[in-house]
Amino acid sequence: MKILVVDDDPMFTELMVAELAAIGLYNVDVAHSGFDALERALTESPGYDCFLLDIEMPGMDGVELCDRFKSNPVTQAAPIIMVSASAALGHVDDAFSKGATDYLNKPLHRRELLGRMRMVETLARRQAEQNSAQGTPAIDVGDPVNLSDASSCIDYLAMQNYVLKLGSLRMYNLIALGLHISNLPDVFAGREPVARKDALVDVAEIIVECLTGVEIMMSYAGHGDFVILLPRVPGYDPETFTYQMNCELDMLAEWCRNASEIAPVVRVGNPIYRNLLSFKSPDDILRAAMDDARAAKQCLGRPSAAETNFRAVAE
Amino acid sequence: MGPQACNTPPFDRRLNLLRQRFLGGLVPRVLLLEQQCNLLRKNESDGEALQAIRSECHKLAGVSASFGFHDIGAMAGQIDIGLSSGSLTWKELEPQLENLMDIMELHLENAFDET
Repeated sequence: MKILVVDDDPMFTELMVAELAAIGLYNVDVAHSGFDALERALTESPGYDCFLLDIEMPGMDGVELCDRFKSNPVTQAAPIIMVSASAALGHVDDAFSKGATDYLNKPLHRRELLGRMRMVETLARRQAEQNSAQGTPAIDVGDPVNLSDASSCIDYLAMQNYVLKLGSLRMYNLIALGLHISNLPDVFAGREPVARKDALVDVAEIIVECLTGVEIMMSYAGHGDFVILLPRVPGYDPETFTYQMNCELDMLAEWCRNASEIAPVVRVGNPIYRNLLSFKSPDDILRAAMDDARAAKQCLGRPSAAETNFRAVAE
Repeated sequence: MGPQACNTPPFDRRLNLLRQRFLGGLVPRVLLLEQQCNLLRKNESDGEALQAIRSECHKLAGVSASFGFHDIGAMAGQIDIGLSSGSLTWKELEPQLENLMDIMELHLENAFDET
């Protein structure tokens, strides 16, 4: 695994290189500014499998660098771990919203570093397998697809790390909302394997549009499950959201009918809150929101003609 | 080879060498902090001096505890957070900075005594 460590403090980069070597990771380069890192990452061949970025650096800071890496096709697939002494929660929010995979606090603890790097290696291996596959990989129903092309979408693993990092107090200020595509196998079955991601992105974009003006963070966890985090105050209006979603999904169904594709049918869960004194782990709220959406009775979006035909043939 | 827990002597030796270098680097860091303090004694609202102190404390907070100097890291972190939030006055900052420099000098003296 090839790693780029970026920090303006040379003493810290040396320490990080030594600590990475101590856990068996020797293929490590360093850069001491955001600009150097960017240049290096874009010209290096083969590219890096992981970036470890300091947040506070003069010039281009780690959050901006993370954003640049995530918006460049050469670097966007590599997991990014933000590293900082600053426990300021604003930094955590910024980093995750720009696509960071996880966050590591200074001072360094070898056990913590080891845990993060094992997770990163699993992601890097999965990425390498996808890259070695011919063409665009086919997406299965259960895959937690990274929809970071759509605005406000982050990887599901990153969202889990994010809520764990926020802890109970910050989670109290957020609502988790689940949405479930109840006919995903049918939606996927009616499309070319390479076009399956488009169906998910369509739904993600509709959700974002129906929550315009609200600061949200969204992930797709696989099996048709979306989960959204949004602020508890000023509040979320379920009726307005459901109405708008229904209108947008109807329009999508129309489009799908013309394209002879099966339109997604979506269930929306109730907003899930977490009590301050809850004994559950903060990330349990994500699962609870998705389970609630699966159990919702009302379905949004109407089956397209193609879906009706598909079902008739299937029956 | 994937990441594995490892505490073999070569790595500890390497970290020990880095720790010694960090200790050696405390002298210029104390001098820099003292220099910025002198500027602030003349002009309490010297933005560049405050920024230089914050930047140095931010670095110290990140790296000191990783080398086992938790007291330096904690004090530097406290100053970093105070300056970042803009809540520290010079009257509050000065004793904290002096405390930080005392701790750094104490570690330097201990290291000198050990050798």
